[in-house]
Amino acid sequence: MHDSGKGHWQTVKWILWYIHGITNIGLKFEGDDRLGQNLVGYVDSDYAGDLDKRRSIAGYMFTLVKGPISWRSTLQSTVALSTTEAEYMTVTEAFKDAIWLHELIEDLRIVQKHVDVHCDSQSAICLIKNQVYHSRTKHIDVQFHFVREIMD
Amino acid sequence: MTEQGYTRSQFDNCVYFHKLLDDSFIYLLLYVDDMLIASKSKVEIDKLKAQLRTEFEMKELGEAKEVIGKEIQKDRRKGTVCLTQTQYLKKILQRFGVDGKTKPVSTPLAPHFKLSASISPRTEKECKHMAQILYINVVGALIYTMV
Repeated sequence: MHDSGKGHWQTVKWILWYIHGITNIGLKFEGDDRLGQNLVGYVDSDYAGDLDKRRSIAGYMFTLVKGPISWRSTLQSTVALSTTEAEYMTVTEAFKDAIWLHELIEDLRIVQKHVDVHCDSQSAICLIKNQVYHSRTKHIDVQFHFVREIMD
Repeated sequence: MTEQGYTRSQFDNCVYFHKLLDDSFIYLLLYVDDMLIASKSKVEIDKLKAQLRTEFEMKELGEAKEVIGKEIQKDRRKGTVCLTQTQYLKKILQRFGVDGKTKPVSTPLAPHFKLSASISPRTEKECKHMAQILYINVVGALIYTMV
């Protein structure tokens, strides 16, 4: 945030101009009798999206009754060495949130057996399912293998 | 609230709920000084409001139109609920000088923006120029909109 330059300011102005055209747009939630099946998560990451430290950006969103209820886009705290790894770490973050949301809606008596989380990286999905164990993934810390445990 | 048979959610402390005789629920959401009540039963809502009135002084605003700065639009026929932040967005756009004359752009960002520390101001003149700009204020207002 500090030491912003002209380029940063140009970007912020662009965002304001964009918002200028979309002030009437909002979130829409549609009631559905099949309420139970509707907490769904979507995950994506931007590999090495931060130009300064080459950290990746993690992003995920959860929808309920056809509208988004929880979202996050954040710089990952560690540097990922591949797109697979960036995606894998993002899935971890999303799973953590999914567990909390699942418990919350269960508390509110919205019954749902499991939460679907969608991810667009086949290699990350394979890694989660433990079908490959590549030497490149060895350095991923143990905490990320927590994802596998949840899948079981 | 717990004395009235309400359970506080373990996962979100702002939420209280109570099971009704017909197996449906009544929910009470508290956020600082904002309050929302949701239930299928109008009778139960009135009962809860009467209960709350005995304990606190409260202002009745009728059907929810706004909560924590977000407007609520309901369409009962279609069964939809929409949340917008039009008022807040208009306020910040006005504050930072974006008015009706400004032409809106259709994309939130364009690929030619490459932000890094390397484009930070280098000369004293540039620094002075940037110091006049409310960059941090704008970014702060935008982040507030986001969450």
